[in-house]
Amino acid sequence: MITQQEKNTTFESVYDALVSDIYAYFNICFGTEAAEDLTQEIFLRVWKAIDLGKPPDNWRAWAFRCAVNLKNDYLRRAYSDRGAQEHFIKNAEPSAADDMQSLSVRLAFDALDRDTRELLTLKNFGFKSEEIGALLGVSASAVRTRLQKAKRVFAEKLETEVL
Amino acid sequence: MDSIENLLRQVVDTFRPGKALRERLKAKIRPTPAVTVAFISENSQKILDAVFRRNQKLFKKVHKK
Repeated sequence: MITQQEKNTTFESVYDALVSDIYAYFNICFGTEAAEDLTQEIFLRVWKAIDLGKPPDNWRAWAFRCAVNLKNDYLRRAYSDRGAQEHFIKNAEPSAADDMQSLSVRLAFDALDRDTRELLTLKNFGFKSEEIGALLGVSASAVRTRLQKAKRVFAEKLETEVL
Repeated sequence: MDSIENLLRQVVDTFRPGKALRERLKAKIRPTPAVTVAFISENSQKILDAVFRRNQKLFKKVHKK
């Protein structure tokens, strides 16, 4: 039987490995306020899985499946409660950039629609096209096509947002 | 100019939580007990585990939104 100490150690390990990516994912989708709540929810589920003695084989894949589902739930609730208003789904304000190029890049990224940001983010986190497809419920080839387009759009925004 | 991949990596990094935020989030999920016990017997460990589990349930009820 796993002790409390072992559970705590497992939780710490999973938390430290995943919190940065999970938080960044939600922050990119919805901004800082929602990111805190949603990240907390993910890790409460992590703890529950550990506490119940039901850890998944792959914590990273499991956590991001939960994150994508939570994102979709949040969107459904948001659109049904408040209408399709973009103002509450905003990114965090760009922090003081070290240089103008960093700010330009951030502005270009912020100008992308949420789905494009999400796709580029998941790819940036190291997920393969097949894994992204499994998360988003689309084929791997569709992911590759969308990624090509996403990178092209990002590059175009970079040219537009040059300060 | 950097490659698209490098630029994306840089910009995604701007969305990551700082150390203080990571610690604050962790404390909300797994609050640290006020007292740390250095050494206890096996029987006491079992009792403390049961007390801890009960307190966690109470804590969740109190802090439930």
